Amino acid sequence: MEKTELIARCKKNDLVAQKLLFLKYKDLVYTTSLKYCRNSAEAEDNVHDVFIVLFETIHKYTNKGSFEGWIKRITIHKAVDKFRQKKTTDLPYQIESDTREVTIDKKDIDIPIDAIFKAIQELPERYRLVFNLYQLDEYSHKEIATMLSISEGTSKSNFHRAKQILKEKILVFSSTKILNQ
Amino acid sequence: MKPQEDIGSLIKTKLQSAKKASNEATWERIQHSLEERKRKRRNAFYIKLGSAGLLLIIGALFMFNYSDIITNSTTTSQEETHSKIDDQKIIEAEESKSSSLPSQTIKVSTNTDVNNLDASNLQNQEASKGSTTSIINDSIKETIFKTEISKENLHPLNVLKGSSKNAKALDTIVNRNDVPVTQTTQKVYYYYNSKNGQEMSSTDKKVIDSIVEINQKKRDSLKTKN
Repeated sequence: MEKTELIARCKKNDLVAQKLLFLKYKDLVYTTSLKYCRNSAEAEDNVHDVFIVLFETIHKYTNKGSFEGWIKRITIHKAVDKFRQKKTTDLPYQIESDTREVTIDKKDIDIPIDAIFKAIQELPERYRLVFNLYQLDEYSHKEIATMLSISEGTSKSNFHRAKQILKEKILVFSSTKILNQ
Repeated sequence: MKPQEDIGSLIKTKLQSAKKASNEATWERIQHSLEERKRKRRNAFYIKLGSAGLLLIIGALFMFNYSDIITNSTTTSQEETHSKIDDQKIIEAEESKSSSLPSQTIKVSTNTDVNNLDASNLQNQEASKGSTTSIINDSIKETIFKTEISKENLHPLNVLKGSSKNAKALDTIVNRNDVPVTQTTQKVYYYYNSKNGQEMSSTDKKVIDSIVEINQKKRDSLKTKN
């Protein structure tokens, strides 16, 4: 079944088409959710919520933009909404806006994807969101600041701090791997 | 020195090709949630529909009762009107009964103002005319008396109060212009006095004849004088 037909049937609340759409895009949503959530269980919850929103708002999709992009946006916004609801205050107050590059040896990052996911998931909530939004999904610091209700400076600082933490984690993992070998 | 690269770019490159498989059991949860939401939406629709229907019924009942009140009030006013008409009919029937009996009723026609009748002048004129004149005089007096009573007691409002006593007492009824009129089925004789504009009528021909006779005598007496 073609994508447009599938979408059209989903707009008519066809349950079979909805299931087919879920099977087609579940991995995309899950992978995106894994980056934004703390663990796989939370990611599964996010997948559930995303598809509910998707089926309820699919009539708004006008076949103009990329459907994958639309689903991804829903996934990201759902994760951000959850962050807003939590209102986490687990971050220390930061004044400096350090934007220096955080570099790493290319060989050190040659680790399993699950390890990278794990490193990202272990980041503090806001660092994780800022890193994902800016680095992986190419949102600007201005947009991130608006989305998370923080200043642009804080977004930049959080991003830099997230990279520093990721570097430490990856280096630890890399050194452990070397030791195990 | 080892070649260094930005950690962010490296992670992005690494994750671009990454694809993790989601649990298919999530669909069961999604399906359940969708059905529950549908049910809730349906229930909300039925609740709205029910409340709208209830409001409609209440409104209809209110309108029905309201129209009943209006109908009742209309019926009451109609009944009142009917009772008034019945009263008038009763009066008319009683009048016709009384008029079927031989009477000495003198009718004062509608274009005659009873108040203009000067009884004293008539008395002065007729005092010298003997016994016949006195009979006429009595009948005129009677007419005036009856007219006065009818004016006082047979006013439309008094009639509408259903005073049958008044109806029995009088031979006259009140027409739309509040002018007392005597209804009779018997033959009526009229006399019009061109001097003072008075018009008289009577069922008894003798009375009219006597008045005419008196007036003729008067004229004759004037002629004889001249």
